[in-house]
Amino acid sequence: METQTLLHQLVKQAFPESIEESTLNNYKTYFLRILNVRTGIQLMDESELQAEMTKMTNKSQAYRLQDCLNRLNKTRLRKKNELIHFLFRTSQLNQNNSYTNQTIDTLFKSQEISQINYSQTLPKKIIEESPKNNDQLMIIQQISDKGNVNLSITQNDLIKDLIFSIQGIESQYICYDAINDSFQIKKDVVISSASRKLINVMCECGWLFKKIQSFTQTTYNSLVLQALQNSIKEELNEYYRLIAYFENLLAESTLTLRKMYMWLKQPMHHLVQINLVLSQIMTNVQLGTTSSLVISILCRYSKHGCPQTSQLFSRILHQTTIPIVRFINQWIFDGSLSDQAQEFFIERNDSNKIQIRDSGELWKNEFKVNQDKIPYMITLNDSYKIFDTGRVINWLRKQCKYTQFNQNYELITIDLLGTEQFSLFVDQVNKEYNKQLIQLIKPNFKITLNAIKRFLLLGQGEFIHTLMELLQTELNKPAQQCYRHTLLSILESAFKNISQEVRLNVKLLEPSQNDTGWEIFCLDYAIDEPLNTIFNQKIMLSYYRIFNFLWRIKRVEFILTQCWKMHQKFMTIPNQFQNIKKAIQLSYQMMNEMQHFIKNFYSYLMLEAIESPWKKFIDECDKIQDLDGLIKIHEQFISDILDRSFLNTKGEATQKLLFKLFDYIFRFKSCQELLLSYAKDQISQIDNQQLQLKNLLNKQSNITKQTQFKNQEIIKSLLELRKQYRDQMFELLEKLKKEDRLKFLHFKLDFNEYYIGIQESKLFNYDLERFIGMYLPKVNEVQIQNPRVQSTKQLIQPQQQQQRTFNTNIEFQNEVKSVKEGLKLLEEQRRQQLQLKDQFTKSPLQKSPLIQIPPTMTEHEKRKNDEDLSSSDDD
Amino acid sequence: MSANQNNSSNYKNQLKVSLSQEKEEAQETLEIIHEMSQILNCGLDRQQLAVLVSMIENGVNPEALALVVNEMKTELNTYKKIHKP
Repeated sequence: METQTLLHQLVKQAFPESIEESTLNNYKTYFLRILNVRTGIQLMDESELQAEMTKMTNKSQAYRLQDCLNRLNKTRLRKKNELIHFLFRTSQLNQNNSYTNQTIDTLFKSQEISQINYSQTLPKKIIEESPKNNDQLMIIQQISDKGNVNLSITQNDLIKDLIFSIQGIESQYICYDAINDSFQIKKDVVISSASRKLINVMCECGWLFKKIQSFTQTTYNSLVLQALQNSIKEELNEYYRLIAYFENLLAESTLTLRKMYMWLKQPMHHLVQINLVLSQIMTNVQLGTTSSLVISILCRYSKHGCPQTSQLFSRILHQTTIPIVRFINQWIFDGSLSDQAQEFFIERNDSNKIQIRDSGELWKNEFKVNQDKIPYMITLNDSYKIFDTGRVINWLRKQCKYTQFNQNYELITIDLLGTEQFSLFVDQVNKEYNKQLIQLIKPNFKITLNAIKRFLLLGQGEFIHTLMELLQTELNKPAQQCYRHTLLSILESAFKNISQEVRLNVKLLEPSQNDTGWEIFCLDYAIDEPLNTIFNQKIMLSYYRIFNFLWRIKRVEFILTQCWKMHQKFMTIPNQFQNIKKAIQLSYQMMNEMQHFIKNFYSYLMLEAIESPWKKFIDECDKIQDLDGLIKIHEQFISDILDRSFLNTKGEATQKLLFKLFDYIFRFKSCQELLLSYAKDQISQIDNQQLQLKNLLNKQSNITKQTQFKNQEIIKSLLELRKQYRDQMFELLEKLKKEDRLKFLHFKLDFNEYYIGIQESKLFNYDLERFIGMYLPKVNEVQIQNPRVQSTKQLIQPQQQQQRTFNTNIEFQNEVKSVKEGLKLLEEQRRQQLQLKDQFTKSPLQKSPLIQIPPTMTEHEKRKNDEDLSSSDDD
Repeated sequence: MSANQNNSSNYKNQLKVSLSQEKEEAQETLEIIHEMSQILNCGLDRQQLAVLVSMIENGVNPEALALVVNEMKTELNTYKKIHKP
């Protein structure tokens, strides 16, 4: 039968394993006999159950039971009532039988409970024997335990309960009051108020303990919090030991409430402190800055005045900072970051993960320091040093593929963390790694820097010159027709002159309209990692700008040398053509002027604008200790160059002037070419004519006129150009005067104050015109200006009225004198005229025979008069 | 044929489902009973309870069973005392 098997099972489970088979069987038969007894007892009904339940004193349990019954009704049990009956009977029997305290310990569990007979009959007898009044009894009952006749609870009972309650477990007489949120002894238990108070105070311990335990049992992601939990658990071990001690004493029956109280004082104090700290931490858990907060709080508490508290917290702190120290060690010596809960103050910057094309970004932006998370004991400086060290290692590993690191240093320990030695240590490690980095980079860096200087900053002159010569035909084409491969091949052929292989490339910029190849050409130096960090995109861009500028100037220089070559050809022209010779002389002067300007400007650029910042940079380079500094001084170097060569926004106006000047030089060249072609034409024509002398006399005169005309045109254009050029030069010089450091350039460009003289004379000319116009209105028919002010060196006819120039100050003064003399003469003449007029008007009767001036002058006569006057005033 | 097969598999699935459901329900019932016994302080653990409940379901007299349980406890005590050392 099934029952039998079940019974067998039951019995086997109940009894320990060492039982013999026979005894087991004996038991089994005995039990079976009981089972087969037919009892006529009525089953319990639910209504009876309810009645039973109302008898129960514990209301909460009653509620629970009711709840269970309700739930039971929903299940599929067939014999509910029987079950309920069974359970009730068992509980009744259990209550009657057991001598042990009814707690959660069950009989069938393997734990052995101390089976102590608590029935204390002795004190009862004493109390019964002593005759006491009822009133006195009442008072005694209130004050002490011993007066209670009906004492069913002994002190040991209470202590047993208390032991459970200080572990946060409810027991028979002490239960958790949800309303007051505390453990309290039941109100109906009859003990003295003193003991009640003591017990309640000690139950506080239980409450604290429960709270702390709830903290230790929640799971956290954060390592620091886990470490904290661990350390608190260790502290609680002490507490458990104390409880075990209590239980021992209880077994010996030597424990009283007061003893317990005294023993619990110190642990209670600790529990209170821990609880305080935990409450502070818990309120801030959501803020997300827990780890640093935790450590800061613990750090402050470890400096508490009370020595026990400070010891307690320094122990806890010790444990809790283990994760942080581990992070720091990992970061400093390995450069790796494995921080799941993001507690460390160095974070990976995720937003830039995608954009690490330019490794300058990698260096600066891959990691960052989160200042909120720096723990209390580490200063800001130290934290930055730590950050730097890790960054260096990371960079070395990624960029330079450098993996051998000296591990001569011991790992940081927790004791080191709060002390001064920590900052010294961090400093040392930082310096060491930075030194390694610099050592690694330096040779490569120097090579690259030198190469850039030679090529992008036009350091290697002869190479640039040959390059230009080879490229000129290609670059003269319009921009759209310049192809990179042709330019590249030409570049490579230029390399043959240099012994070594250089990693140069041709870069073609964006062409705009009317650009020839010259504007878009640019040399490019290939840079790879790790120097990418220093020579990043922005910096290379500025290098290209400088190159462009220098290339332009070089081109202008190149053009001027071509002009000079043309001049050499002019030397072959025979001396017949005086007017052509005059044009040639003019153009030669202009060429010299322009060459002077360009040469001086270029030397200024190479020397002052490039070499001096370069020297400064190289000097500082030797002192540099870390990568950040290197980047900084390099940037400083480039900005210096840009500043001095008018390439930044401040010098934009100057740049415009310079470009205009270059423009004029280009036009000059074209003018010269024109002149040369014209001269050649002339020569060839006249050669032809000499063969046919007789027939072409007439034509010769015609031709000479024509040639004169064309010559004049050329000269006119040259002079026009010269004027514009000189205007611009003057403007440039004005600009240069304003800045102190460009004084030298200014001096070089205009050392004999040539341009200033021109300008001043110009101003004088302008003022003179105004002066004459204002004060001598009637004399303006007499065009004195022309003959007076014409310079002796003037080649052209007075077609150009504006072109009055004085070449030197002295001449100018001479001219001033002559003008003044002329004015005086004019005044005298006028006075004479007026006098004559007066004489004439005053006495019409006095018709002296001597004076024979007619009364009015006809127009024709006036003009003749003027002509006479003017001719007499000729030099 | 396939329809039949489908039906059968469906039936099996339902069976499986119902079996698992039954298991869950049984567990739940046991939980409730265990809680009740705890409240009433019967001093029985789950395993014992399971066996006892199944006995009752099989028709054993509950009164008698309660007496049996009581007897068992006392016998166990004496047995342990005898065999303790």
